[in-house]
Amino acid sequence: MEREQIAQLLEKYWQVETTVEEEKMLAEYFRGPDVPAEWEMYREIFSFYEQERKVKPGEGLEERIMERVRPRPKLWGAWWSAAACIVVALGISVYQRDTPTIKDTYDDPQQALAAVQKALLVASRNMNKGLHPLK
Amino acid sequence: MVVLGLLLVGAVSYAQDDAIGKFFGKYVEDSRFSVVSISPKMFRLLSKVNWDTIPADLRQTVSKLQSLRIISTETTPFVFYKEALSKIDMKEYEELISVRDKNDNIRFVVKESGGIIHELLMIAVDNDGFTMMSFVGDIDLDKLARLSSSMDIKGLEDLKNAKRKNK
Repeated sequence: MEREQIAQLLEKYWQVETTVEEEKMLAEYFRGPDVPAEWEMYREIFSFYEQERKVKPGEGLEERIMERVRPRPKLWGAWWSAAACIVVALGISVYQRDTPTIKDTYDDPQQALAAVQKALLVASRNMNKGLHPLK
Repeated sequence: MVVLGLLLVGAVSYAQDDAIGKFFGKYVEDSRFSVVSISPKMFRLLSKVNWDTIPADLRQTVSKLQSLRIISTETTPFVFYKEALSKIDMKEYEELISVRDKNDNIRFVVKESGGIIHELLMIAVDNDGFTMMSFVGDIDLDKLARLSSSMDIKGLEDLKNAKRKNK
């Protein structure tokens, strides 16, 4: 290839007017042995593109990209949960208002114990009634 | 949606859970009823009482209880008996003992999980009155049955059989 021709192509290249074929010719030329010293610096440029082209994408690159750009499902679940929590909280507060807290009948533990004792004996006696129906 | 559903189910079962509490709540202020309520707080205070004269079985039974509620009335006992029965969700309770003769009508139902009885509910009615009693805690039926003086070895065996039959 003529040096003149390369000079023209280079000129076009810097103007970004070269075709794909012309760029291939340039790359080929700069891979070749007879590049004059003043163009030595260009060799790097074209060999750089050449090498970059050889770099293959890593394993599963496409999947990784698609995962990043995948449209996310909207978080309806979270909204529903939030709404449900409010409903439940309201329900519990209403429910508790409906059920008056039953006060302790006794203030004195001694009296309370006597009542518990009596209740247990009644329950126990009735239980035995069930177990000995013929007595 | 699933979360919402679960939460709603939870709320519903929570409400059913305390049907007894609702019955108590409904009649606690009603002058026809007499009510005894001993809260978990009071049960904790019971440990400060002098226990020396209390039999060991009774002491152990009481120490495992958390609360006691009794409601009773002499007015139209059978009406309230029916109402009480209708309020109990039998999915929650297991029938333990049922006595039915000309004088008495007594039912014991229990709430059980993992082999431990958490609630014993007694509903009894006769012509003189209606009584509902709820013991909550860790309830040992054998010990409880043994408490009354009429208890004998035969009764203990019967109780075990009754429990097995209900399984």
